[in-house]
Amino acid sequence: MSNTRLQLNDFFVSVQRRALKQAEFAIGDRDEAMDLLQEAMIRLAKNYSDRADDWPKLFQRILQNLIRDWYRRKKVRSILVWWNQVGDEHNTVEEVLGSEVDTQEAPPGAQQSPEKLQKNRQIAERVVAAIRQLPFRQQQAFTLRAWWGHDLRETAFAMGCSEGSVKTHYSRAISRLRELLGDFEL
Amino acid sequence: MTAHTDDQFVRSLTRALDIAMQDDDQELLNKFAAMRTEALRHVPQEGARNARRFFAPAFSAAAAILLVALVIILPGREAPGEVVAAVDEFDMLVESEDLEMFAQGDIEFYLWLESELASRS
Repeated sequence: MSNTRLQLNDFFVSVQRRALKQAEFAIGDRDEAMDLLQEAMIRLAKNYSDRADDWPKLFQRILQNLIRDWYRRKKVRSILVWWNQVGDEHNTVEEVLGSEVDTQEAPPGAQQSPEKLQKNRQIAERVVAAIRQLPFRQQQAFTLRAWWGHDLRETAFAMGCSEGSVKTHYSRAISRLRELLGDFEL
Repeated sequence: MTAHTDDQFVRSLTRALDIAMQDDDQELLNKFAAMRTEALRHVPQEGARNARRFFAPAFSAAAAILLVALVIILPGREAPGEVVAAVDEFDMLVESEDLEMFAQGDIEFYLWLESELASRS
């Protein structure tokens, strides 16, 4: 395997889980999220394999565009079906979290009691459910800024909007999450 | 609601998201591997990429020339608004030159030339 392919493979490994989760948050279906992730990987490999320095922002831009396009298609097809999926909090949490948490994947030094693990998992479920209730643009701004750690400029590039819009969406996302998780002990 | 600042609140949320992300089972890891393999199959060969870089400007220039040629050659009614106006102006310029040529007596030259050729034959 060439050096470029090895580097690109490492890059994909570093982003695949987070990218899949982000797509799942947005569209609520793992299989479709996998399809989008696959497409994003292919487009990056096909068009930008020689621009290693730009992979993070290009990959994010491609992924966000694919998610946005998915939204548009879905809305055109059936807005009612979409709302039912988003509104069904119980099912979506199960879909998103799927199997048991693998404690071997936990960060170093994170030897936790079963009770603590269970509590963390409940918190995670609640947070995921809240994030999935955000409007798409707020969800994008929050996950890109807070979870991926992108700065304003990178987030604006990925979302295809101005930095001012990112600030607005992010601020609204935080306010909305406070409303949704208000009395929940984080 | 607890008295988190925004930063603390956001940190708590991202920690929760990190936990939610730790649900990879072996089946999912296998799928990731298959997806990466499929994506890497689309990385262009070095030669193909260089060729694309080399020919891209040439293709762009050729396309631009073709576009200009089409704009000039195609009848004005088939072109969009601004182009139609430009082509019409161009036609008018050509026509006025023709008229000027006739007005300045060049037609007399052609008549003379024709008579000269006729007399030699």
